[in-house]
Amino acid sequence: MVVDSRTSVPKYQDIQQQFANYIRDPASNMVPSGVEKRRMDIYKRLFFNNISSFCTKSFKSFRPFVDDEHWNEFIREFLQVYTCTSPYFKDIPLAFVEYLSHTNKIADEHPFMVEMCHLDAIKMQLRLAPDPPHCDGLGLSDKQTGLWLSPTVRLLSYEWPVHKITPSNWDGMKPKRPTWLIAFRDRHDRVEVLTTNAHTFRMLELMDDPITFRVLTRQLSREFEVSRPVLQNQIIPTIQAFQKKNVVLTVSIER
Amino acid sequence: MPQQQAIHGAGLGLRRGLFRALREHTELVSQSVDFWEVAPENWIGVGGRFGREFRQYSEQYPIVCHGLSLSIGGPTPLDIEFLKAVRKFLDEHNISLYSDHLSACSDHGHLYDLMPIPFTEEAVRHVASRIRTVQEVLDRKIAVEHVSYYAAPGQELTESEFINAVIEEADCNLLLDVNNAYVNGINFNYDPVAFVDSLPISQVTYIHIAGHYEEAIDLRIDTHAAPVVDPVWNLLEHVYRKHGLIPTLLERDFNFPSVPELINEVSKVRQYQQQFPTVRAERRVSGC
Repeated sequence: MVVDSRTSVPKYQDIQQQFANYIRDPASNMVPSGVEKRRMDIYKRLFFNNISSFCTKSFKSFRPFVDDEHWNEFIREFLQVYTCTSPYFKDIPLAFVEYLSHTNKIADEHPFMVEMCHLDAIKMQLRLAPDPPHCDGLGLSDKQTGLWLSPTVRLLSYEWPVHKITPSNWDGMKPKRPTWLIAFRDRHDRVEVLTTNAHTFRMLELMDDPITFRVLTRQLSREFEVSRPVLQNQIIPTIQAFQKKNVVLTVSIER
Repeated sequence: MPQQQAIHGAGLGLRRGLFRALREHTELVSQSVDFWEVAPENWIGVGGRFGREFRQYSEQYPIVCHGLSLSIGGPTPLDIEFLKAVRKFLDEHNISLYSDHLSACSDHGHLYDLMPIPFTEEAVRHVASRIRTVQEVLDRKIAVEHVSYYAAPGQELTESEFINAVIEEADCNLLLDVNNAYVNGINFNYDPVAFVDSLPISQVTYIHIAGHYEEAIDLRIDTHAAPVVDPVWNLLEHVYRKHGLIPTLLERDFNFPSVPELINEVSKVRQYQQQFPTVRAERRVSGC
């Protein structure tokens, strides 16, 4: 990080930047003038450990795949190159995933790394996500009922089955099909991950904004090339099951 | 101007990692803790089990907010959207006291920990003007905490001169941290008693007390991960003796002991306070 000398940065801010530069990247930056290296290294350590312990807690699935040396390289590079814009600590995991998706450090032996970390970050987000509005228990197929994917749900499609890869079962084989997942917070505030298929995934995708049963079935019948009566019989139990799990909410649509 | 909610007595930092253990000792806790402190960054927009439990606390107890991400000494513009979210949170939970650290926690991006602000006149003006902006957006006086630090880059003023100047120029309150005063006294070889006496104590909203780590004979690190040491208790007693009773909160962020042990330390705050029963038993630092 180089401060542009053409802009007029107050002297104390210049010193602050040197200070931060050393914390971010101690290997390529000097200790700010007049500061004892031993003291500066306390800051180096505190900041590094803070981010590292936060990421260790957040990426419980991926962390066991890499040794400490490798892990520390990721954390160091994250500090060096990434600009976190959120004041909220809970946003650090997604920022880290964003960094991972751009780094050249991707370990060949872990091609699923970004996806696995992404799922971990999403699970953490869902644990803390705001509560959805109360579901009114409206009739599923009423004209004024909107079927709405709860804000405590994330639809995820991955190349790798990252919800079940562990260091002991990892065989390096890439599946032919993508993995479709529904991650959500259930009625007991536990975060669950369900596997699903492309059709159900698509149906839920259409509920991103509230949609009536009628419009939903019309759209799906066109896309899946199935008659509406057949489709309706198939999806009603599915939607009801998702309602029980708080994945799908019913909301009143203003006309 | 929101109604100022008075706090008194002894408080404890409310951390997510403590929730489960606290639940098992509700009676002991409610008898011993007068108020709780949270970092708004960890609770804004939080739902689910944590959100519900937090609401139970905020309905039952006075809550104070002690922020982490304001970066009042940082170089980039204040995050006004964030401040608006803080304001909404304060209003939602009827919280009147908000403070953050007299430090920077970012350069062009957030670094999520505290860097010292160079003690210079220029920095005083920058920080004071930002505090005024924060006070406008939040529609209340805020308090700033003098932080523990391990290096003083670019120092032109003494720490005390810097703090006094900021508080006067910003017309804000002070969060006094007796552990920070002690830690910094060792780290920079000054007398913590004289330092504390040099601060504008009439502007103190409440006091922090905490444990630290002994890195070296001349270096202490403010970890909030250990019990409070005797010299820090003595410093607290000194403040009470000289300036009267001020609400005081125990910070414990890591390496949690059992709840009874933690409550013991909170109770120790109360015992010190009971030695000075007649002086300012309740304190109300004004908003405007």
